[in-house]
Amino acid sequence: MLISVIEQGLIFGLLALGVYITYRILDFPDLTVDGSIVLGASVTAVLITSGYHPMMATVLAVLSGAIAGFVTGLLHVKLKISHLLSGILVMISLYSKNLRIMNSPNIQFFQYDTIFIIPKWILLGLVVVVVKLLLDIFFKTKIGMVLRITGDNPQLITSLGVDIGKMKIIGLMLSNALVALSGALLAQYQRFSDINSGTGTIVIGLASVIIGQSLFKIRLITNTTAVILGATVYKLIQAYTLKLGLLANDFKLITASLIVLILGIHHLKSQRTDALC
Amino acid sequence: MLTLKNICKSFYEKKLFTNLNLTVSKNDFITIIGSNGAGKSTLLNLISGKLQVDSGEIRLNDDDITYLKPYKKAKRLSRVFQNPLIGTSPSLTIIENLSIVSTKLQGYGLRFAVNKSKIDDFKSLLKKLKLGLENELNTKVGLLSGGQKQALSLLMATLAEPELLLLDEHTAALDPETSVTILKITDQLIKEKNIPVLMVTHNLQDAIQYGNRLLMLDKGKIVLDIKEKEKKNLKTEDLLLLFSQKSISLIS
Repeated sequence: MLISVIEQGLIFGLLALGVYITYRILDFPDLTVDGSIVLGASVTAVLITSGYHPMMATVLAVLSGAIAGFVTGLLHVKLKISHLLSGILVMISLYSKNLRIMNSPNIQFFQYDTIFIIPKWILLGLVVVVVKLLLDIFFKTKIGMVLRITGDNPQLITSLGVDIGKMKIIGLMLSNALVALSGALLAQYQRFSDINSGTGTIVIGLASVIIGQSLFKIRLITNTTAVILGATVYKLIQAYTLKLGLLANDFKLITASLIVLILGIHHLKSQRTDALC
Repeated sequence: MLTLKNICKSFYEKKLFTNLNLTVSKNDFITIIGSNGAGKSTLLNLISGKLQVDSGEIRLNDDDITYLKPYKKAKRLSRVFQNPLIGTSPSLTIIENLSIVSTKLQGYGLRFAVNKSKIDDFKSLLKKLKLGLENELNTKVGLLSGGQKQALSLLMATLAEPELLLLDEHTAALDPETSVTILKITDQLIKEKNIPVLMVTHNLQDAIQYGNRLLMLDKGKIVLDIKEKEKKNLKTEDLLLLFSQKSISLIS
């Protein structure tokens, strides 16, 4: 069971990385993810069942996620729609879009080949490590550093002579590409894609980011690693509560309560340190 | 060189600038004073593009920059704000902050931001600030004091060879002692770089002590323009007197 928890933790680690980019780095609470994770899954399912190589299907799924992020960014940057609403609008339209793509509420593909030609945990581990390392390197490049500043100090971005709208769009594309990758791998892992599987994904991503950054606030652990570990811890908690006999449906409430609890503790802690100063 | 020609700007019904003209030459270090609402900050906002003029023309070294977007103007001119938090990125280290701004003119590609060969240059620049920052290259800027942040903001603002520097009450949020330090650093950096400067301040003494030219704004008009020698002989009391005279004459 532990292996399957870790495997799922890795898959959702990619989602968590995506959410980390928007929520932490861009300071942009992006709700597109509920749609883009299903988009990644459904694009993969459709392409695999129509005979595409699973690798190709995965790559195209990632691109579709980037496009979803691009649209959210466009709505926010060019039409000045608020970040929350931009995400919600794209999320809702993706629901219809995903139904169109799959042509049915769900697709099973048990008899097809998937990307998992080697043991699942090895492949997932490889993908996650490579993505994590690439991201770490990216954040050290000029453009990556400008992206980090975008959420940190938006005014400085303008002072640096950079169009902040462009940076937001790049960040959203990168984030949703990762989320779609997570969806593509999840679909192949379960050999199944379902239109309703995305509901509440943003909360899972947020929980992973918040858990990871609270539990692994150690110098040697980079933020990206912390966030991936956060997703694994999240999946562990989930598996444990299910074992305790709680219904799967109750788990969203538990997740939400967990987030409230951690954020609440953070708030009280920072209030206390403020008072001490 | 910066020229403002026939600048008009209103806020709804209220006219602030009507046909404002100003020429800033290459060696000018201009201090700008004036009461609240005189238009000091608006002037800087119009130049930097944060606000747009209703009519008129702004030229920087012969290029028309009147309607350029703020981020495009920022490639050519720098600004330091009153709030020390605006000029730096708190979660990046000192070296990262300096590195990213030093490549402002080259653009931002996929090369590594921190260039190891430049570290020594940055260290010697930081050393000149005499704040000990040269030993804290890998410290996150969020952990620095307000004065240190503002000194770094200044260094960053002048690093990419801007054609104009705008200082918007950049010492107003600091304690008196730090304020003096920052002004000294300002003066030193400007002399080294030889760039035209507009410095808005509420401190009359600073306005007299620094720069070669002093402007007094009142209700959108330049009511006083004192240069070079005349400025050197100026005393705070004279300025206060002028200040009250102008205000009174404009009221009556």
